[in-house]
This record gives sequence, C-alpha cells and structure tokens, in this order.
Amino acid sequence: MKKSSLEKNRRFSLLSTLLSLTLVFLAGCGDGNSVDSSTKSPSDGKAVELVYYFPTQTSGPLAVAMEEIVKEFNAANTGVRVTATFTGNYDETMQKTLTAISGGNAPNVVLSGYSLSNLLSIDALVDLNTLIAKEPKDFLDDYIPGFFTLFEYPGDLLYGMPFQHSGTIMYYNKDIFKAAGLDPENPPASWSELKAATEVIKAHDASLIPFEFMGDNWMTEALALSNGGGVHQDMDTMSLDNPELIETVSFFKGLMDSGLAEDNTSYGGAAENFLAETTAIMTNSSGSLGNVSKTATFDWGIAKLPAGDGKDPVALLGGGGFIIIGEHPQEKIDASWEFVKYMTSPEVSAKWMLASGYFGPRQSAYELPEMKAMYEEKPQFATTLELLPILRSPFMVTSHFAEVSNTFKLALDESYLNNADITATLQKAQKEAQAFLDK
Amino acid sequence: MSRGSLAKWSVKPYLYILPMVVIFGVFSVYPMLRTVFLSFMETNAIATQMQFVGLGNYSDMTSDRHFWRVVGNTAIYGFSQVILTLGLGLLFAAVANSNMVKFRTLFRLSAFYPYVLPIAVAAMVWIYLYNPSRGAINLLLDHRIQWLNSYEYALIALIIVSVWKSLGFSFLLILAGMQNISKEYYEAAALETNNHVKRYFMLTLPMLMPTLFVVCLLCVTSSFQSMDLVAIMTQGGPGHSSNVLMYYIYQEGIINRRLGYGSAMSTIFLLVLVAFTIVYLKFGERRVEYER
Amino acid sequence: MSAKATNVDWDKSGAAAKRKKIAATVIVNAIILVVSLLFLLPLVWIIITSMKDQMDVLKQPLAIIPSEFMFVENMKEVLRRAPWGVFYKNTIIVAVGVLVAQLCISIPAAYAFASFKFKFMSFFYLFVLARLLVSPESLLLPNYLTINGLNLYNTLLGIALPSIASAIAIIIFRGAFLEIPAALKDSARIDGCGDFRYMLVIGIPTIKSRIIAFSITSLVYQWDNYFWPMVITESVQKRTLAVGMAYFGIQAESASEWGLTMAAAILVVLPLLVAFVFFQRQLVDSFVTSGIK
Repeated sequence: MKKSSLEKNRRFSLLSTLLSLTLVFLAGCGDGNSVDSSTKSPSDGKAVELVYYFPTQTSGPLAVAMEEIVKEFNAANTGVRVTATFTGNYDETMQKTLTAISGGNAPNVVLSGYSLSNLLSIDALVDLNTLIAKEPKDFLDDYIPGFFTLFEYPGDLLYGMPFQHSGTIMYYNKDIFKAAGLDPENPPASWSELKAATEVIKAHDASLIPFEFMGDNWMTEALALSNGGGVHQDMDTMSLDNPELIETVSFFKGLMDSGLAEDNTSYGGAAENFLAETTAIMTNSSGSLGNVSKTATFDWGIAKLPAGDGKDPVALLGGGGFIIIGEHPQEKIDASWEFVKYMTSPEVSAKWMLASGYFGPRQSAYELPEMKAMYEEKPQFATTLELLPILRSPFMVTSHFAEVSNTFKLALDESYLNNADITATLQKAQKEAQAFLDK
Repeated sequence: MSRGSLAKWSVKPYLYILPMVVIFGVFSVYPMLRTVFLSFMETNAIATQMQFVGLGNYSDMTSDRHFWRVVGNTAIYGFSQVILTLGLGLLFAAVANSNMVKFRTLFRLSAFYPYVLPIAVAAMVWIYLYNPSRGAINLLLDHRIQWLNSYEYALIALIIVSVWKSLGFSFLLILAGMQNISKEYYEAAALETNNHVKRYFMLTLPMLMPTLFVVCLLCVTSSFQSMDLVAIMTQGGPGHSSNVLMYYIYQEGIINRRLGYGSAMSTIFLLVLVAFTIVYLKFGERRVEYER
Repeated sequence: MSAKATNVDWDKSGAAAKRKKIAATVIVNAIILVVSLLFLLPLVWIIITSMKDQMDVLKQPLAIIPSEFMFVENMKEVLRRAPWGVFYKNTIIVAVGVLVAQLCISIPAAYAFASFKFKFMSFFYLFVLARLLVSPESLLLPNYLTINGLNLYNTLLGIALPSIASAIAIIIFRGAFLEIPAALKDSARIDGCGDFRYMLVIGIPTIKSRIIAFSITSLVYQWDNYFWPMVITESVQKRTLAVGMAYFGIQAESASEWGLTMAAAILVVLPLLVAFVFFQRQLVDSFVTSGIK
C-alpha cells in the first residue's frame, strides 16, 4: 500500500518538475527582454560600451519601457552600445554606484535622485556645464529651467540633466465624494476644508480612511511650504523648529488622532489603498499618475495640496536625472553625453511622460501630438500642468545631506507614529541637524 | 576514537586541510582582520582615503543612542526567536512523533516548507498579509493593527515571520534527535508511568539535550546575524524600532558610507559572538556530557 | 508498539478511560489541523493570488475563488518581463557548483581533523569555529573588495567563491568520522589500505546520510540566497533567482501587481517544493540516521 502511493507520489512530482522545467525553458528560449541580446549590430569592434544604471521609483513596469527605449538607442547608434541595468530604487541605485566605483567598476550614466553629496565628496561626477558649453548656443532653450535647480551647485556647477520629475499633489476619489455629498469638482483647498471633508467622509462610511498622507521629508516639506513655512533657511542653515513646520506636523497628527487620517510611509502602498477605494483622499507624487490612471476603476481627480488657511499651495519638486561618472576616458564621457542628449530629447521625453506620468524636461515635448492626445484622454494629466508655476525645489545643504535628512526623518517618525511631543522633538532635531552643518 | 599513527612529521594532513585553510583565510579571517583594522579609521565614501582615529569610532558608538536601541532590539529579536523556535520545535516534534496524531505528514509539510521558501518571497507575502486594510492577518483578527508601520508592532511582526520560517529546520533536527532515542529507554519508562507528558519530561527532554544544545547554538548565531527580513520588510523602521544590529551596521557602513564606524560596530559584535560561543561551549561541555 | 500494550494493561475503568482517550485524540488532532492550516496560509495565499487579476486582489483580498482565472495570463506576463531561464541556469550552476566544491574541500579537512594529529591542529580548527560565527553577510564589504580585486565582480564564480568552504560541513563530517569504530580503521590498515583510499572507499559511504543531510541544507541556502549575489552581480545575465525575484517584486509591488509577483514566486519556488514533497521521507530519514550531535 505504501509502495503504490509512493509510486503515485513519484509520478506526480516527476510530472510537476517536468512541467516547471518546461515552463522555464520556454521562458529561456523566449527573448525575455534581455537588452544584451539586442545587438547583432556590425561589431566593427569600435562600439563604445557604456553601462547605465536606472531605478524605478514610483510606478511599476517602467523597467520594461526603459529597456525598450535603450534598445532603440542602440539600434540607432551603432557607434555606442549601452547596457541598461535595473538597480532597485534611488537609494539602492546610489549604493550600487558607490560600491561599483570603489571596486573600479564604475558605471557611465546613472539615473539618479538629487541627493548627490556622497558622489560629490569623492569627486566622481562630471560637471555637465562643461559638456553643455560645447553645444550650440541655443541648446538649453527648450529645457524647462525650473528642473535644473535640483542639480545645480554653487560655482555654476551642474551635476545632473533633468529627466523625470514629479510634484507633490493630492488625489481624490470623485465617486466617494459624490456618495458622501461632497462636490466632486471642488476638492478641499485649505486645511479647514480638508478637515471638514474628512469628517464628512468618515461620517458617511466609517470603514474608509478619509485622508492618507506620507510623513516623510519630501511630503512634509511640501505641506509646510504650503503653510508658508519650510524646513531650511539657506544651504547652511536648517530650520526644523520654525513655527509653521511645527504647526503643519501638529495639524496632520491631529487628523490622525481623530481617526481622520493615516500616515503611510510607502507611496506605492498609499496608491494601492487609493486604488482599492479604501482611501478617499491621498497626497502622493505626480509620478504615480501613470499607475493610478491605468488601474483606477472609478472617477478620480487631482488637485494641488491643501494649503494652510490663508496661505498659498506649493508643489515640491522631486524626481531624478542623469549623472555622468567622471572616472572614464573622455571618449566614454562623450558617448555618455550623446546618450543623455538622446534620453532628454523631446520624443523620448514624451514617450517617458506617457508611460510614467512624470514631467519631462523639454517644453516642445508637451506640444507633441501624442501628448496633446493624452491630455485630452486623461484630463488628470492636464491638471498637472497647473503645478508647473508653483513648483519649488526641495531643501539642499552644502554638506552632510544624508545625516540631516535622516535626523529630520527620525523626528517625523517620532512625531507622527510614536506620539512624541512635536515641538520638543523638532527642536532637538534642529539642534542635531545644525550640528552636522556646523562641523 | 581512532587516530592514525603517522611518522612524527608529515605533509599529508596539511594537504588535506590546505584548500579549507586557503578559502577560510581569504574569505573569513582576512576580512575579519581588515574589519578590525578599518574600525580604527575614518574613511571617505569609497575607502580610498583613510585617517587613523584611534578609538574615535568606539567612543562614537557608546554615545550613539540609535546603536543602543538597535542592540536592545537585536537581543529581543534573537532571544525571542531562540525561545520560540526551541519551544515550538520541541512541541511540534513531540506531536509529530506521537501515535495519537493522524495528520502527521500534513503537519510536517506545513511546518517545514517555509524553510525552503526564498527569503524574498517570504518577505513579500508577509508584507501583503500584514497590510492593515487588506491583509489576511488583520482580516482574520478583525482588528486594524498597523503591523509594519508602527513602533509597537514592527519588531513583533518580523519575529513572527522569522520564527515561521526557521521553525521547520529546528523542528526537523529535534524530531530526528527524538527518533534516535533508543526504544529500550521508552519501554523502560513505560513501566514507570502511564502518563505521556510525564514520560516526556523525565525521558525525552533530558535525552534531547545534546541535540538541543547544537540547535540552540545554530539558532542564536544565525538569528543574531540575520537581516534579510529587516532589509526587505521594514528597513529598520519606523525610526529604528524594528532595526537590528546587523542591518544598522549595513546602514551606517554601506548606505551612509561611514565605513570606519560600521567596522567598529562589526568588531564589537564579533567579539560578543565569540565570547558567547566560548562560554556556551565550555558550559555546555560540562552539562551535556553524560552520554559518552 | 509496546507502549500501547502497557496502556491497556493499566486500564482500570475500561470504557470511560477509552472515551477520554478518544476525546483527547480528537482535540489534539483538531489543534494540529488548525496549526497546520495557519502555517500553510501564506502558501495558499500565494497560489490563490497568482490566479487573480489585479483588481481582484485589491477589492476582494479574502476571496478564495478568483473572479477570473488569470494564472496563465499572469504567468505569461511574468515570463515576458524577465529572463527566468537565465536566472534558473545561474542559480543551478551556483548551487551545484558550491555544493561540489564544499564537499571536495570539507570532507578531506574533516577527515584530517578526525584522523590525524598534527602541529597547529587546534589553531586551524579555530579557523573553522571563527567561520561559524561570522557569516559571509557580516563580511560583505571586505569580501566584495576581495572578489573585485580578483576580477570576479559580476561573475558566477564571484558569487560562489566565498561560500565554498563550509564550517558546518567540517564540524558535522568530523563528528561523523570520529564515530567510525576504531576496529574498522585498524582492520583496513592491516589490509594495506592507505589513508586517502580509506577515506574514499570506506569513510565517505559510511557517513553518507550526513553528507546528504548537509547537501540539502546547502542547496536550499544557495537557491534562496539574496544579499550577497545582489551585491556582487550587476547584469541581468548573471542574476540568480533570488535576486531576480526580489527585483521583480520591487517593481511589481510599487504598482500593486500582486498577481504577477505571486506567479513569479511560484515560478521560483516550485522545483524546491516539489523536490521537498518528493524527498521529505528521505530528508527526515537522513537527519535521523545522521544523529546530529
């Protein structure tokens, strides 16, 4: 008896193993999107090989879109061959880059966030102004100037080329608004309106989270700026204990305590809650537009972040751009620059904007027919254009950016999630952060 | 015990251990020495320039409140894991070994399969199970707990996953140990008492001591060094409440590029582990030595 | 077994005690069943979710029957997005390669520690214990620099190299060799059998079950290992399953594509699970006969 069941066991497991192996070999035979296999190009041996690291930050299957764009570049430029490698999120990408540099395997181009102090401290980046200087006089005309602020440093240094940018915005579920009796075309614009709206929604359906926000540095700075405050005074002085910031954190903590809001540290997680319709209003990045618009099955809209009563809303700039690593022969640096120019061209820029919902750096891209068509089809994307005038750069300091950011983030976690005394916590954080800068 | 009788001095044994010595030397001993060396330095972001700072990193460590927090977390994490894994392992093994139970194979399979899952898969599944709005855990408990996003529960959430994942292996080792206990002992015990539970404490448990000893050691050393779950699920957050020493070293050393500081913490950690193991082995040798 | 026979002998009040026993059995079995199901919950969830469409996952998380059976579509998308065949190939090469190397290195070393007496023996054994305490993860950066210095960055050999000496293997095998009765060894020597031949022909087969037990743990570890391969490789062509899975999950999770992530999980885990179900009897037996002490 035991023997025959063992036999059956064997046969079954053998079959399933065979099945899974077959699946695997089918997968292996298929192209599987490997960029490396894309080059049957005339290898006259002269092709310059470039390594390009890229992350995806907010929206999902963009890695596939990125690899396809790179494939097209390789096909159109037989003198250069770029190998694109997905490397996690912005932080992990930075890690991989630093590790690679320390090991002598530095990549050539990296799509990076704007926190560059580690790379700057080891002098690893090419000043792009030197490359732009070799271009025709009107080269920068078509680029939107505001995005460059993320990568500009004192002394007329530019270390990154803008590529994908986002602003802080608010998403809201129009269907829930209608059901709760709120006007779906009139989202809350001030804190009092926000509070009122969340109360209405909570009364309408207690199982919903009326408002979800991110208690992280970026979003908090955006909310503080929209309250007439901020987090720093200048590149050498932080101001984590200014009254408007304290007021901001206190207000949103107050909403949390009343059960009207929740702090979610994950942008993707909040988007998921929004899509599952368990959250009615959320703050998030405009970079999540692609994901939300693809998946939402309900009527929704976006708006500027709510501002403190009597103040003006601000959209905080975020996103990433291309940096070029300097530790390479000039030929590779020039080839990298060609690649970067291609990636920031209007056509590619438009393609990426369509796929991701990010802002692209080229003004003419916004005029292209495919973009206009998208704005027609997806009015929410068109609304993001209203953000451009109110975009502001996030805080930047001359040194110890990581330590200062970490100090700020910890203080926020303590305040929002651990019921710490907000004023005392932020004051302590200010002292610690300033100590780093004064070193 | 048989020892070969060789000529007074021979190359032979050294040949046998040569590959091992080389690999261990290059990939264990040398990195450890290098870590200790780095702990007295302050370096730039890629360790190409360094400056001797003596005990500077160590004194930074003692005044770093996050370090102490993390050490506390690691102790909690390590000890809960060991206690739970051993305790539940013993319980499960007893169950799987008993004739009363009908679902033995199912039970064995369900307890052991988590060991086989890649940590990335396990982490991702549990991230979803812990989702406050839609995760199965909260839905089953009918209570909205912020598992991974709260100071109170984040560490507990990680411990649960860790125990779920490693239980199977310990359970198997203990079960094997149990089945190794010769039948004669059982028969003798059966003459003394009818009570299963009593028999367990009188006979099974003491005879399992050697096995438990080894399992415990493996458990402690591996749990104190594990950080995959933290890395994927919480990154130590919120605010270091679920952070463990190994991941904190990774954050400070590799993410924040304070390589000297990270090395100092690694060195201290290593010393503690060594001390613990020596004490444990010495202590254990005396207590467990009754079979031979 | 004999225990049962004793039970009946001692049984004074026949029927009542029997009923108590049945009740106890039922209760214990019920608890066992519940515990098993709880442990299986994640696996069940993986399987069910992989069959669901994205909106299904979001709207009806507890539903057991998916509204649309999407497994094939999900799997197709998963296969489209990454070269899993390459990942499989790399993982198998690394896992098997590491295991073979581990056995080739640790068996002779263990034999030496068990059978010879030589100068600095304790010193070298200290190497082994030191290794036990410090996992490769703890030595991430120094090992990275070493492997890189050997020009093995982004290679499968680079992934494998630090792991090929296993302290646990040496400790276990040494213990096993020590248990071989002296008489066996002496009689082999009388027959003119040299050390090396003895080790190969007699020693290894005798400790076979321990070798198998160890091999299983080693293979599983290498299959699932994430951190080190992630750090030491960069290109898609050199990625292993664990890293590919993690990256896939990161991307898919940010777009809440849980169906895809779980389908990928099944793809990665299926051979292990199948092998486990198939071999679980042998697995337990090998641990039992090895009598790990």
